[in-house]
Amino acid sequence: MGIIQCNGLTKYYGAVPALKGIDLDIEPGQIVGLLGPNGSGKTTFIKLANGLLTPNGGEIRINGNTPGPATKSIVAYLPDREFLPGYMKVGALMKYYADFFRDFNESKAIEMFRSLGIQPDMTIRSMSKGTREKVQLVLCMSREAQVYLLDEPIGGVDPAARDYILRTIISNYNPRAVVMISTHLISDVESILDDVIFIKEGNIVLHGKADDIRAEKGMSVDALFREVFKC
Amino acid sequence: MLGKLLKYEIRAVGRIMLPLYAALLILSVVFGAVMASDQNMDMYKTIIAFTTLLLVLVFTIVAIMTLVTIVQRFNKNIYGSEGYLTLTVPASIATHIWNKTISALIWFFFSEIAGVFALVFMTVPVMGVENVGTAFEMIRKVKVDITPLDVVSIIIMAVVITGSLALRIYASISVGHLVSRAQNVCGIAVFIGFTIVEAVILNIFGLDSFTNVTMSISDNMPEVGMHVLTPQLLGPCFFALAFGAIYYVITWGIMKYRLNLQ
Repeated sequence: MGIIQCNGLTKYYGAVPALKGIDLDIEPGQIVGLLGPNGSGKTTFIKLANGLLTPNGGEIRINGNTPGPATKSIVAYLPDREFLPGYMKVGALMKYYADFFRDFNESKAIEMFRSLGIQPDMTIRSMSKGTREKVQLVLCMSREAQVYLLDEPIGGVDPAARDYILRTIISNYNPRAVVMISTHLISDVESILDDVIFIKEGNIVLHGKADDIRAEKGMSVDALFREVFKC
Repeated sequence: MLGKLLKYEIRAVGRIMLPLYAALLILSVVFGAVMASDQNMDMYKTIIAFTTLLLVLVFTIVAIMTLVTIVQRFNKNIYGSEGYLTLTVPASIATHIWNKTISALIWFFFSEIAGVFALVFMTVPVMGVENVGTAFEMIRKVKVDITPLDVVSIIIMAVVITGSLALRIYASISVGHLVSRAQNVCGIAVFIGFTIVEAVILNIFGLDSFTNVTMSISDNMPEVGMHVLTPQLLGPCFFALAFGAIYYVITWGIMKYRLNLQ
């Protein structure tokens, strides 16, 4: 049984379908790319997995449970937006994460912040956008979670920051966990992906091992993506 | 988990309200000192007028900010950008609602206490410390026979009525969240609607509104030696408890089955 399972998962925004009966079974211990253009349903799927949206049909389960306190204790989530309170300091945020998440590794977070030159007494609102995003990433990846859901972690940052983010993800995640990265910047993440899911207009159009797809299609995942999602 | 949420909630509200309380109390001390000072001073009237104006302003700000902060904390922390953090901690929906409600009760209470201290700081320098006891007796109108049960009852009723108000706010915000546009306007309209419905229901049962209940406790009790546990005072409180329960269910239901964090 996969750690992330969904059966007929459906979500509408008004009359607009965002997800149309998604079925998925994702095993732990791999890095999964949830790939699709803007508006394909990636963020909707991730928010449903976190219990921030309620489905209109079907269900999603994390480790056998529907989204709730039990799943939230094992899921580390990085939204595609800024969400940390601006008035809070980095040190206070580490305490917050340590208070609420048993799997939060505070010493790892301290070390990562030190390597970035981010002081514990800095407030979120005093930082640049890029630095805020790094703080969010560090807090998320300092958890030894069973599921990491990273929504567009490299969107909106410069190439150097992208490399840093991907290095941080690779070097800090729990290897027994599943890491799901949603993005439309395929070429940047392709090299680290074990599993690939293409999502288009709320439907899963492809799901398989990255190596198998490359061997079968004779092209990179990025090239295949451009072909599948050609405008 | 509730204790942890409450810790952070109180800190978040405290950074806004504590400076306001400090401003109120400092101004009250200044006002009291000025009132007790040499009234032949040339600038006396100007200083009194200015200090009075400031004091009224700060009192008003404290009252409004208590309400605004409670509304904003729920709106932003649950349905806003901070909801991406708050609602991903491993706490149940019930825990989140209780956290917000208890926090609202605490800050309403602190605002009342700040107001009482402000009044003391304003009046004691003028009447003199030795007259404070006499002043309290005058307020109580001597004939009152307040029992410990009355005190406990007043506290319980204050908690129920204030808690019901907080839950009404949260339910209104939650209903507003259901629409895609003008969510704040919708929330305000729903709050007004809930308030009207409550007043109508109380009227149908021949009961006073909650505002009149509060007035009755201070007006009726001393003069007739009436105790708190009377039907005209208990009735609205039982309804407050019932309304509060309904608002809780509305809020819980929307957060459980209709949450759509954008």
